[in-house]
Amino acid sequence: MNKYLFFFSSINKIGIKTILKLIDFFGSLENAFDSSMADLKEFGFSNSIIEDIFNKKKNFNFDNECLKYKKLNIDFCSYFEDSYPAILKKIPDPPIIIFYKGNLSNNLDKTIGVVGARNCSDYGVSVARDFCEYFINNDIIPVSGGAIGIDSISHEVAISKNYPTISVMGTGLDIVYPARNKKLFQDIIDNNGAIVSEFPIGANGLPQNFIMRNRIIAGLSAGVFIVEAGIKSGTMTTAEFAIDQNKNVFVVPGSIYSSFSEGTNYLIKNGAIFITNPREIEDMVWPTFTKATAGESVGVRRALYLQNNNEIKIKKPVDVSWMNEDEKNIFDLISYKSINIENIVLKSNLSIQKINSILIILEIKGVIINLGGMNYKRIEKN
Amino acid sequence: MISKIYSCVVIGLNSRLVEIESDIDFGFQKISIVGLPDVSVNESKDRISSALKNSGFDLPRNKITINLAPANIHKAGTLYDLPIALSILLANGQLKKSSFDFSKSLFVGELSLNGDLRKINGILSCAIFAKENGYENLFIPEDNAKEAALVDGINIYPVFNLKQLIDHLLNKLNIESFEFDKYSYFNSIDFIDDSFNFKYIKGQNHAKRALEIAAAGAHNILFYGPPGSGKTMLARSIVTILPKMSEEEILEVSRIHSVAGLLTEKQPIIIKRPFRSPHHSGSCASIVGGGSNPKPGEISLAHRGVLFLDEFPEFSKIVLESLRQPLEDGFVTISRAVRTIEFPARFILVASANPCSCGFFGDSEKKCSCSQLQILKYKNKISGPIADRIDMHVEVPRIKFDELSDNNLSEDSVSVKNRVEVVVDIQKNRFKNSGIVNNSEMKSKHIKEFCKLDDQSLEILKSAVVGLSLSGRAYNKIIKLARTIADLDGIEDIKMNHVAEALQYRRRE
Ligand SMILES: Nc1ncnc2c1ncn2[C@@H]1O[C@H](COP(=O)(O)OP(=O)(O)O)[C@@H](O)[C@H]1O
Ligand SMILES: [Mg+2]
Repeated sequence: MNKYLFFFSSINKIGIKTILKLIDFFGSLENAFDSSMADLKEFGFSNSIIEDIFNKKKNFNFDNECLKYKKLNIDFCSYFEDSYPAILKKIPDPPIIIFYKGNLSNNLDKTIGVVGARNCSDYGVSVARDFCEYFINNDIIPVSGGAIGIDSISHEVAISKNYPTISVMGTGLDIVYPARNKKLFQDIIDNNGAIVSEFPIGANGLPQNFIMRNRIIAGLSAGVFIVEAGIKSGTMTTAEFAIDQNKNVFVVPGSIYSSFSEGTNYLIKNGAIFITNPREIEDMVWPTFTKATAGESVGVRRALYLQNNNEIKIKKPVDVSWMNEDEKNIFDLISYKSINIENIVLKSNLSIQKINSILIILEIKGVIINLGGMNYKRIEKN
Repeated sequence: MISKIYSCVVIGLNSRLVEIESDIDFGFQKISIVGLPDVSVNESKDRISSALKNSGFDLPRNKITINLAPANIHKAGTLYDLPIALSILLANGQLKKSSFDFSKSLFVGELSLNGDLRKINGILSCAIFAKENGYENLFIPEDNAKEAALVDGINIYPVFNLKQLIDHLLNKLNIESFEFDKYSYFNSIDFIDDSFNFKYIKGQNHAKRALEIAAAGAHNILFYGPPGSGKTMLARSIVTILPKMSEEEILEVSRIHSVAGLLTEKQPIIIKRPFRSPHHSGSCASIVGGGSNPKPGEISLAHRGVLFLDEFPEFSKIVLESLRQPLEDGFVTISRAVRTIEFPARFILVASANPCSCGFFGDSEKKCSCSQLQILKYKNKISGPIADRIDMHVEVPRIKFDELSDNNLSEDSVSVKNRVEVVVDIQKNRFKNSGIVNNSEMKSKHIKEFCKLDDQSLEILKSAVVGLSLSGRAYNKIIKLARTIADLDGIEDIKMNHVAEALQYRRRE
């Protein structure tokens, strides 16, 4: 890593394009580093940027910086290095340096951004879970933002299958945000995945950082799948970045009454690709059938896809042989759509205490899940 | 000439003897009180002078010194008015030692300016003290009579005014000792306040079942769910299923309320289990107890009953943290420069909480408007140690009434309460020699002794650690709950279904 590149990357408002211009203007970044205020003014920097450069110059010690990162087990690489993810180089404004913990040298050809609201419905939870399971079973790496909600679920599904996943942070990697995901992040690293950020250590979670973070999520992904989104949510910015980067945005439809689906339904109306099955994403982003080429529009690919594939069932029958009569009866009341405990009470003739204990047993056996709010549904298994 | 009258001081919940001596000496007319009196005691001088005059007695035109002994305890309150007045009269000969044996009697009471006696706080502690220390007679304000009569084996003399008492002491008139049929009083009260009856609560069967378990084993319980889902209503309904108090419990509880000055003409004794619901804006002293002359707070007033903390996370951090000791030990310690005082505080904590500050986090219909940080802050307000002391975490979802058939009538609280009382008896037998009363109080050694788990139950507990990511710390809580659930089933050995049900009430991260 060039120490001057490292230095300039720490200056606000300096991106990869400015770096290239600096090299062009001064001959090298080292020259730029040693140049006077007047020269920098001449280059076209504003006073505030020049001030920033001179302030930071005083205390700049590259070896110390490297040591700090080493101590925190944080690696980094620049745009100009081979280890920088190729997919990220293609976006309009790639970060100069990318910081990461874990393994970023996985083959990132098959990545999918899976994002959605921190605040999500049962439906969103199920969709995120089922789709991510499919992605992982088909060697597609989920990329997400490590927030609570959909983000965490996509990472969790990967971890449960010991599969790598990439989590992009809106803070420096010395900060664990949200703190409660500390274990999750460690699990990601332990499973050969990576925690990634474009921000140096010490950078706080400013709102604009989280928005810029969404640019990297889209940037590391071949396509972005949006599970649920409110109309004015951060998730919508991820969709915008994906569109900017010329990538496809995939959306599942949601209820027109649900505020969780306002954003996704809006996206559908405005050109996002509406899907009902994870395989559709795979087939459209990484087409395997011969007729489809990169030049073909998504609409054509989609039509071809529908011609070639019947709807794929993702549900398999559940083993119920171990259940006793009562357990079977309760299990039968619970479908893939959630049901509230009140309705289970009403529909079965068992006592509440009996029902409570059966629900726990079914939950422990992994055939149903409590979605919160005492709502239960079956767990779908591939 | 010196003469002694016996009275007592209330410190915390307990009483101690106070001897009152008056000395009359030649000099300018002046009353002085010595022996660490509080300002409130000093004010009694003026009341006593007026009361004596208005009752037809002469105040000696001399120097009067009144000594309250022992000097090393702080004496506050108005209950010395009466004994001080008597000691003055005894000192100047208007009362005669020959006509009454003062050594076996205690006198307490506040005087009004016209000589009438006024009710005082803490009379029950005085009566218990009198009995335990072999005093035969207790002279008290008439309004305090029922309260004092809760204690057997001493003569309670209700006094209207100073004149009447002096006449009694001079054998000119006879005050009858107070007889009170407390048992018929205990039973005369309609225990169930019907408006909170379970039968009016639609659905929420699992929450009602949870309340039944909480009431039976005295388990702390937290309800969480979105606003309007019925948390407050459910919490309040617990009063309709709480078991009756035993006589000792009535005495214990009434004593605390007596010291707090909360017993009234209408409610001279507490016979219903208390249900206290302080607001979250209340001061720490009012909730936990305190003041310069420490008074029991809400948590002690809830002793043997329910402390309901609605909107739990809204309570100040200090209040929440001060709940740790009482939740663990069943009492609270209040430290003052000169002494520490303990008040009992063994209550069932019933708490309610929204999932976040706007209330809609995780709701299936409405959208939460809190930031991630706000949500975490809100959750963190109920710190680990407090949440760990709450055995039952019960989610109360909003129910869609149209999904519930209306003809589905719920069970009446009376039958639930009957089941609860059976379990209370089972626990009474079980813990006869253990120094505890309820399943929730069990420590590891009790759990070992009283909670036998069969292989299947152990198996499900183990699988819960993986399948439900149950924390190790939750183990004992689950077993205690399973104990109560098995008791409700009338079964001695804890079975798998009991453990399974208990798991339903675990804390979800
Ligand atoms: N299951 C129910 N059955 C009958 N009334 C209910 C039920 N749930 C809620 N209510 C009514 O709705 C109102 C709001 O309930 P409340 O207990 O104040 O909710 P919360 O404390 O959860 O905000 C109450 O007046 C109550 O009467
Ligand atoms: Mg409420």
